[in-house]
Order: sequence, then structure tokens, then C-alpha cells
Amino acid sequence: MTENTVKTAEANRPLLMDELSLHILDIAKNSLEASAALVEISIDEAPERLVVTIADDGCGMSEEALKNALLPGFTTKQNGRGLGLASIKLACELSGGELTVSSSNGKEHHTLVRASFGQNRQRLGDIISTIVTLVNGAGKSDIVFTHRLGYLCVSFDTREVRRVLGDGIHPSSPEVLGWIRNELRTQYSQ
Amino acid sequence: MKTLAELAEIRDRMQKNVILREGHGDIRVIVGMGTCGIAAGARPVLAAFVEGVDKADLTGKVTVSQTGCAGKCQYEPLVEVFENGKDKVTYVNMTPEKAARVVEEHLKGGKPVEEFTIANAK
Repeated sequence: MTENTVKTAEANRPLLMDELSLHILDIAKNSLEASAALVEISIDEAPERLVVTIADDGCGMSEEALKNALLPGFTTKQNGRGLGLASIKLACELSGGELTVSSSNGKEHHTLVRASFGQNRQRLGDIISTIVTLVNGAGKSDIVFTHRLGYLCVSFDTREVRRVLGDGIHPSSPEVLGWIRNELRTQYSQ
Repeated sequence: MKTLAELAEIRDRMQKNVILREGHGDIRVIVGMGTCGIAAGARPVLAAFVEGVDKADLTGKVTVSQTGCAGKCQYEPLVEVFENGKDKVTYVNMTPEKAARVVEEHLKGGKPVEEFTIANAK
């Protein structure tokens, strides 16, 4: 607990990103930094509401960390600034939605972030680049992504990619990242 | 997923190339992908490096990866290039266009793009 820090007011002003997909990238990176083996991102999108859930089986948060997690400037990372969750919370609330975080560092070791955005939300933006960036930075962790939008359902799972690639070729290789980008584009253009 | 057959083809091509790649010097490109980095535009910068390295056929020699906040938020997007036996080069306030030049002149040509480095930051 002693390494938790709260930075000065000037440094910890939450920042709105240009696109919701950038907030999703930022929050899912927390899961990877929490040593998650599996990060599951799902988006349920309708005109009036867009709900993002990011679930991981990482190290979880202590009760105290969970209590303070949404405060701007609160961080448990050595070089962190404590802006990520506070920023997505701001984006949620400005759009007429809300952010909830639940976590346990008991037996289950998981964290769930649920962000709902209302009608006044920013655009989702380049979600494909967010997924490609996450896979590039995922190391041995797996990423599962689902996006439901009307009749469209886009789904992606690095475990399936690994099954095809076998040992020796990592999903983060530029060639494979290029394929992932094309695969997602193909699914979105259905 | 729709195009797994294409992924299998990519795998087969890559496996053939593995032997050719051995013996190359390693260059590591690290893009800052903390909250400030992301807000400042690190995502398209990473994409430009990944695509540039692939197009320039440098995938056997150069790896592109990420790190969290480096505490130099005013310089984000920030990119560090590590190469065995050479000093680290730190690029600041990067853009996809600058990344393309770094791929061409530094990663391919071996000459750092001095005007983008932290030493020349305004």
C-alpha cells in the first residue's frame, strides 16, 4: 500500500480522449499490466447506449485500491499517473452513462470494468487499431473481443490465432498484426 | 473468424524465412503506450512502425513493442530505439509521418533522424 500515491491537482486532471476506442485501449492495458492471462473485451452498441465491458483474470485489486480506483491521481503503478479510470469515468458521465469497477484479489483474481455511454457519447473510432495495439503488447496473454451492433457480431480470439500459428510465431509479429487488421476489416464489412 | 486460411499461409511463409533471419542484429523499437501516450497519439505511431517494418522487410531484424508511462508526458508520443552496441535513441512528439522516416533512415539506413530526437526537442 505504501507505494500508492496521489499526485498534485494540476497533474491529475482527467483527460478526454478523442475516441472511445482510445479509452478502451487504455483500460485494457491495465489488465495486461495486472498479469492477466485472458482479457475479454465486449462492446454492445445501440443508438441510445453503448456498453463496454473489460474483464480480466489478473491480480485483482485490494479493497483499498478498489475504493480509490476512480479518484484522479490514484495509482498503484510505479510510474502511473492515475488518470486512466478517472478519464473514462468522465467520458461515461458526460455522455449520460456511468462507470463501475468490481474486483477481488481473493480466490477469483479478476477485475471487471463496465462502462456505459449514453446518446451524447464520443464516436467509438478506430476500434480495429485498438485491438491490433493490444495484441502487439499482450505478450503471452490472450485477448478476446466481441462487438455486437444490430445484426453485426464481430468476434476475435487470439487463442484461435495461436492454434493456427503454433509455437515459434508470435501473434505480435508485424505480418500477423497485418492479418488481424484485415480479418477485422473483413468482419466489419459483412 | 473468416480468414484463418490466409493466416495459415502467412505462417508457412514465415516458417520458411526463419532460417534466413538468423544472424541479424537486433533492434528494439519501444513505443510509450501509457494513458498520456495514448491521448497524445501513440496508437497510430505504433501502427506506422508495425506497418513500416513489415513493408521494409525488416521483421527479422526489428521488433516493435510497448511500455507504460516514462514520466516524460510532455514529449509523448515517445519512442525509444535500442540496438546492441549502440546508444539508445529517444524520439519525441512522434507522428506516423515521422515514424515512416525513422523506419527508412534509421531502422533501414542505420542513421538516426537527429531532428526528431529528445536532444533537439523544443
